[in-house]
Amino acid sequence: MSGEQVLRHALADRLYHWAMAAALLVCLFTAFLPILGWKFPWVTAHWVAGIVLTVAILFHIVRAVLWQDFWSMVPGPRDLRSSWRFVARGLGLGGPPPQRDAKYSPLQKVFHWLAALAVLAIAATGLLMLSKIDTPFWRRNPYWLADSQWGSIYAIHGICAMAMITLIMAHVYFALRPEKLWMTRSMFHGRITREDYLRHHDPQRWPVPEADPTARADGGTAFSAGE
Amino acid sequence: MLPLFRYATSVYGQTVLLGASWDLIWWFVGAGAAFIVVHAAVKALAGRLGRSVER
Repeated sequence: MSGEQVLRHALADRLYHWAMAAALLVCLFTAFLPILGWKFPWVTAHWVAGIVLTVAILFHIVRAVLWQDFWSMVPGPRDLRSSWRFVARGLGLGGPPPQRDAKYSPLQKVFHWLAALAVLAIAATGLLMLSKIDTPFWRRNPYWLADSQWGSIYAIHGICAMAMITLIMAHVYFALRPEKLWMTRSMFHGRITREDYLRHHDPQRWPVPEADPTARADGGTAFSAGE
Repeated sequence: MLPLFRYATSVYGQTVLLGASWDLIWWFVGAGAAFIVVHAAVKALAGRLGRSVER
């Protein structure tokens, strides 16, 4: 099957994605349901899920920088050119078609960095806010910062958490769109078909040896690039 | 006008920032819903136009 299918998401990345999703949803539900009127003891579940989220983010950052192709998520001139071509054709201006994507499309990169900005701000401010609650590991110290500083930290935490609602709605919407299901399935079992790989991706920008028949003939079956 | 932040008055009579206004939740939910509706409508319209051109 490896000749007909291409690995898009390694097991470690899928586990990270779903762990982060679960932790983030627990954080959002335990934050906003009490505000909306559903009262329950939410604090412990919130800070524990926040720690899980922070550990997952640190794992992802280390893995992305040291073991993955970090630059595959960084927008470049080709993404801008391709996006402009997409918009121009959408507006009926004509012109050449958009280029096939590397591993990630320009919109996926924009979404990733918006989500990364919001989640990093949530995690950083959340870690500071841990000093205001008692846990089995430490005693609270609410006087560590001035009231005005705490206000700013709470404001950043709250606005970024609410922004995540918008981002998650868009993310789930795209994941459920029929023409995107080939990508969504790969977040469960890791792989996409060779046909989808060649239809949607530029093999020169996202080279996958196992999808190349000549590479397989030479014994080049190991997957690494752009993992 | 929609308040962006929550404030309180300290024991010294000063206005102190508490955090973001929770009324903003519905604006963020609305923005997500509006994005989904507009995108789905544009895709549906583009698909219909594409099919009529093919015919």
